[in-house]
Amino acid sequence: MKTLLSFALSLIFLTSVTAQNDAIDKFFSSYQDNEDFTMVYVSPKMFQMATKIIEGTDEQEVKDLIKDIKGLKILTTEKNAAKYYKEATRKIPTNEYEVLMTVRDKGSNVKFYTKESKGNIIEELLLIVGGEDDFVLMSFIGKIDLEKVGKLAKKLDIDGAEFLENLEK
Amino acid sequence: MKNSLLLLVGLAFFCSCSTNRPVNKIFSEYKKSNVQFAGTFPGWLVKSGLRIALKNSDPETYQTIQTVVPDIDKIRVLVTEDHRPTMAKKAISNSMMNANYDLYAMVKQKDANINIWAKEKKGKIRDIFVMVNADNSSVLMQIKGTINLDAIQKIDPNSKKPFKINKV
Repeated sequence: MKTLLSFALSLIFLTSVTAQNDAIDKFFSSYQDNEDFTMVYVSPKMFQMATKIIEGTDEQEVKDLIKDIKGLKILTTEKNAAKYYKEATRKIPTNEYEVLMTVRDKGSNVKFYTKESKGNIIEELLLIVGGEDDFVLMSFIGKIDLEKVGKLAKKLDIDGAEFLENLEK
Repeated sequence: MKNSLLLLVGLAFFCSCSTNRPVNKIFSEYKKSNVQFAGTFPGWLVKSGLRIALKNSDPETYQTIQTVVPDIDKIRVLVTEDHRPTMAKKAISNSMMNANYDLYAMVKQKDANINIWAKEKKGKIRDIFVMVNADNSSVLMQIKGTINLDAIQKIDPNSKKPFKINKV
């Protein structure tokens, strides 16, 4: 009876944790097929492949930047930016993600969220930008070094990535 | 004994076809549209063509290609126009994952999208499938063989050894 109860409690706990994490994934999934949105997804395997190809070349700096990144998702649109910004910030599970920084830059609201695992390692960095014409939701997964992400932003030619340079400051 | 052997051979053939089924199905589906170009190129033809094309390229590029190309078995390409998708994106995604393909990257903007799928075995990429849809045009490309990324790491771009141009 005791075992059954413990098992049931673990299952409920696991389900609730998974459900909260799924909130971000659900947000991506719900809009990824929407024609108004641009979506970029780079898988862990693609990063592994890129790291191997870059090894030994002059792009060693890029390799150092990406070797600990396990995945990248970007969702962006130029329509109803304020609405999607509010919706995205409302859906962030606040017991899992901490606000790292809030920036107001040229009429755009920018929020950085981090999710830490044991040992104070940042396992996910979320960037949400809501401007007059731009909504950007960016998620980096892996062992995130904020300084490296800021440097990587300079090499990324993607709308919204320029806000990541604030992490270096 | 003979029947058992025949059964085993048939089973092996069936298994090899079934893992490639979603890609074959996607190619078949797109072939129903206005085909601009379609071709399947065996590995030896690809190697010969690349050697000719890259004869005057820089040594690093040539060495990289020389390392990757020998193990390519075939490349299949299909270019179509006015494609009307009948297979749902989710269905394509699910069937690819069921056949052990991993989605490596996806980029989607308005009605254009690029999807890169790959199948790995023992740390080597055996099959790459690239699907590009833009406006009403589509390009599908499948590369089958063994792409060993570890071998690329061993290329020394500073090597002063002359690179070999192997005879066809």
